Amino acid sequence: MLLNYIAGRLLLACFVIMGVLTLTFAISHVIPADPARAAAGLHASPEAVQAMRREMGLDLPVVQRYFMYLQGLLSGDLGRSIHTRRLVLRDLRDYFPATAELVFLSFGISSMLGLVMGIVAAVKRNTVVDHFCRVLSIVGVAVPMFWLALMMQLLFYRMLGWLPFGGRIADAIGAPARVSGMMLIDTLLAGNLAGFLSVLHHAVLPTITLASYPVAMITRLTRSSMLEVMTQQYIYTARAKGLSELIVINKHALKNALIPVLTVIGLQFGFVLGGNVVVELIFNWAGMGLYVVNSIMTMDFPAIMGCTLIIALVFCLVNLVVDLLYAWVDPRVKYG
Amino acid sequence: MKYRLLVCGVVMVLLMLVTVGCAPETEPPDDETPAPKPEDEVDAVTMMVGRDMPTTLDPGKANDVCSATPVRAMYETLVGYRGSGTEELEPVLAREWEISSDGLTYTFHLREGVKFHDGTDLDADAVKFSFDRAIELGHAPADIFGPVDEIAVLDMHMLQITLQYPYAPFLYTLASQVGPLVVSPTAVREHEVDGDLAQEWLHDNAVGTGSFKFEEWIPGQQVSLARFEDYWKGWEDWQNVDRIIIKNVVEPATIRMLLEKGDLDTSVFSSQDDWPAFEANPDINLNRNATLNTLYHMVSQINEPLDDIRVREAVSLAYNAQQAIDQVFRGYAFELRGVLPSDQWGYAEDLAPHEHDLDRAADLLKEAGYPDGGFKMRYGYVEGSEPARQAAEVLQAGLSRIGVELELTPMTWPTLWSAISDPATALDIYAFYWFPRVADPDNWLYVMFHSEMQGEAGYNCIYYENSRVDELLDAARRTPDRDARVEMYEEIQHLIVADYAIIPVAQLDVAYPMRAWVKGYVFNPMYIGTYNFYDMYKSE
Repeated sequence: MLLNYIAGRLLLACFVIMGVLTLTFAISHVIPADPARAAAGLHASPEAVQAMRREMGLDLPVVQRYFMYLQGLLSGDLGRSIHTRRLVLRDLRDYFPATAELVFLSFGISSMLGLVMGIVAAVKRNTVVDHFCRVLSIVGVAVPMFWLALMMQLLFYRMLGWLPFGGRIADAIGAPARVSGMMLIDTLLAGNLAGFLSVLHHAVLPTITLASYPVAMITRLTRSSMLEVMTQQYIYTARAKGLSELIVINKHALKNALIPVLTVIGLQFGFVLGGNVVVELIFNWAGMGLYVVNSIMTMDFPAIMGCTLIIALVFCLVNLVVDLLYAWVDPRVKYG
Repeated sequence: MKYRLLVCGVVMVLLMLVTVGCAPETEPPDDETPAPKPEDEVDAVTMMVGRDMPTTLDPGKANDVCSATPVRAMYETLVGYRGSGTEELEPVLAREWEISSDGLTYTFHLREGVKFHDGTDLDADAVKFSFDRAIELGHAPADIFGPVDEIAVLDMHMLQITLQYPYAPFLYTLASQVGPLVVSPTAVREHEVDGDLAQEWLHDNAVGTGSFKFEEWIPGQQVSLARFEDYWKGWEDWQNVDRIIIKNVVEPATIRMLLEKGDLDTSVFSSQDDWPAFEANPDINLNRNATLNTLYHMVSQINEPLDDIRVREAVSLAYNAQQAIDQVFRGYAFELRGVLPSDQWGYAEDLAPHEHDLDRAADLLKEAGYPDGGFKMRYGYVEGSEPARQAAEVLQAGLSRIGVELELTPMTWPTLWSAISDPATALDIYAFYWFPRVADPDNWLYVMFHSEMQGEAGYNCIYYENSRVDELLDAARRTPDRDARVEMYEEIQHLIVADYAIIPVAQLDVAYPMRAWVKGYVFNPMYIGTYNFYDMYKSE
């Protein structure tokens, strides 16, 4: 039953992705722009620009280009990037794992920390701990990410010298043999402990920066959701039955409080995925963020479509996971 | 109690991760080092350069400054600009050359004993192969060979290039840092796939004759080059740079931190806001220099009401050029009179400074039938270009005082180009930077103002048309007589200024902040964004 539900959702996800791709294709081709000139270069002759236009397929009708794109997509060919001149699939293979690594780290830490801080703030309502958590969450929401990134770089790199300014691994150690593209995994697979620690070392600042906003949002919502649940009658009943506070919170309060929080966590994933552009730029984290920005600025259609595909796919999968978690959290929810 | 322990446990795990992450790094034992390293790494001197990543390393395709930084270190041309000047050329791969009296035939005598990075020898066949390859690929570098009729190998070290027509700037185009680069034919043939002339491979590999050879390109992160020990010029003891790492660092605040800490030796990028701090820092040399790059407000010659010269003159008079230099560029730019920068030969010395006179502007509008202004114009500029935007605001402010509304529209470059390259959608005014490929007036004036260069044909996207200017431009590029050319270009500049085709904004300067321990750098305005790495060394 559950498998049927998952299969159905994946099928629906295909339609969603197709819709997103079609919309993106239409918008990017409706905008009056000539990427051929940008790609050919400032001093290119009209002949060179025309050759570039042919190479990019821009001399073909839009509808034909769309179906050619779909045909390529079905065979795993996402086209060739105008900017990098490489296959888009190859570019994504190079850049996406770095972004995924940063996003998963930030997302994981922000979820864990946000939940813990929210629970603590709710349980210790109106105490110093609660106020501290709330102030932190307000700061996390209010402080612009780019400012936070630069300030952390200034403090921890420039002034204290504790952390590197950016990059993914120390130059002296060098990148590990590529397996997944995520260096934390690849260094572990290679048995390279020094490399693993170096990657962790380099990931601290970008991860904390990227996690700042989601932590704040998750903390605030967890706290308010917990407070609402903990005033319910069944919580008083559970305490009256003599259950320990730990069981009351974990088994009776938390799961019910998590339902709206899960939704927000899923949405925050989108924020983290979108916010990584600034973080990648400032911390020289060679991920997809800059690739996306460059693609948009140069109207690199194949790259834009490739990035859209990846982001849409990730969103659909994350939403599916969130929906499945509802069933775990709320026994009234059944799938299939 | 147990609840508290659980919470404490989670917090402690997180703290441990952060602590481990913050712990200073230690050098790994040798057996754990996964990637191969150059020999004698302990004593290797590395030059760390901050800039954005290249688009490609292919010498037949590389056309932008980002790519030029590593490409110029790995590939060479037949001739080069001497020192910091732009008028004199020096031998590079060609030790000497002759030009026929009719200006059609160029004969180059190549150096002997020059090796490519793959160990093969440079000869005339290799040069012809490289140029033919660039032409066949048909990307922007091919334009350098536009006037070429034939490339012939006369003997192993003698190459002859015959032009279709006399083209005075031709020899200078062969000194461009992108375009006329020589690549190893052996390497191309070895890595060619399905007749692609090794495009796929040369995108992120390189085999040239330059002083540094390709080592590694980590996408989005860095490009590293290693010294080429068999470089034809040889190496002296004082030349101690063994490796160059070009790091993808573009955020000005980060660059400043890296330079101040000494983790970066130099950077192509920096914010003008940081220039005073660099100048005040005894450990950093700002290296500020005037370039030949220029910025203009390009004024449409065909859009109503700008098709009336009185309106164009009024618009020009409404612009406060000195205010722009002082406030937009904070004094870090030079006054521009007309089209050419003042350092460029052929510049008309007698051009008057830009005039700012709102009263006369209002009178001219009245004369043209717009007594209180009362019309609106559209101004386009490339999004993200702050100097262009601010200079446009200066123009906007001036025009508003004579009753003319100027709507500023940021666009991506492809969108801007799409708008201006079609006369039907041409903007009224747009910001335009020009980065010359050749230090020759032809490279500004012909491309931007010849009637044949209108629309997609070139950069005459204000649709300027003046038969006398066309005549002079055609004649000037055909004659090798420098004095005659200067005379013609001076007249052209006066005609363009008199037609109010442009509003000059500034001759730009650049700064490549550098740690004081970096020596030997020589700036050349034709080698923007790149370094003469061979001559550079590090010394306290």
